[in-house]
Amino acid sequence: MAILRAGSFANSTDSFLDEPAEAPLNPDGATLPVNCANYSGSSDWSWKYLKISTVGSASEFFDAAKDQTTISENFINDGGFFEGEGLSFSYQASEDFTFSGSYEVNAGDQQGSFATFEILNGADQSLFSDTDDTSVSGDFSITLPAATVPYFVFLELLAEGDGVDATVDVDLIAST
Amino acid sequence: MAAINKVTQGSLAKNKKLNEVIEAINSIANMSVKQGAEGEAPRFVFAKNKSELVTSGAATGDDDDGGGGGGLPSGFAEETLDVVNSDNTAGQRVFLTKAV
Repeated sequence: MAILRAGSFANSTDSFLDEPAEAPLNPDGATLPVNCANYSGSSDWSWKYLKISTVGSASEFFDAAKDQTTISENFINDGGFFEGEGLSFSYQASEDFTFSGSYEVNAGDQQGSFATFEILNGADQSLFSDTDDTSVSGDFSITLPAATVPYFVFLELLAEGDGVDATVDVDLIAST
Repeated sequence: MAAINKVTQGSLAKNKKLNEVIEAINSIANMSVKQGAEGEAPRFVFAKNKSELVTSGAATGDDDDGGGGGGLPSGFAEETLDVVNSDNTAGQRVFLTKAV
């Protein structure tokens, strides 16, 4: 059964918000775009996401083009650490769907370094996690639940070391 | 529906009330229904051996008087809204909406 669209933006308390004048600098409590599952085949409802390049100081909303199949974002932090940078969005879906992509987080190899890639929902529950001393990379494929009320997803980067950078790719399904 | 014949013979024929009742029943049994013109009030026309029920006037698409007929319900308008289809694709539906 079809469900009525929320959005076009939403936060944890209001599902019917306009795009904020400025992109949030922190994912906690952020107002995020509401996507239609991972579907990018509609120009009336483009797939949007928030990229936080540097927590507290640099973020931006991006739109995937109609029928775009993948988004890819690079992250570099000159400060030598990631403390919650990443990609964030919310979605509605009539049925469960597979959300997949790939990641690479590098931290360097100095003593005490670490690299973590994690996918969280709006309740701070971990849906996927990979961590290691120097770097992590691989594919993720998780099942996201059907959601009438916007469901929040955060692809989070945590790292510290002398060579911190990351790349995150997300697969979008452009056809039915 | 076939009309009921009046009583013309026998002792019952002496009772004129009986034939008045038969006339009234025949009138209702042969009732026709028609839609009134735009703005016309509904009414019931009763005549000898025939009657007619006229419904309320037909509404045009722009009518907002709740007149019924083929138009939109009073106060409602068509609005195209975005939906998530059952296959998780984005779609649209036309809803009849009314401000509260």
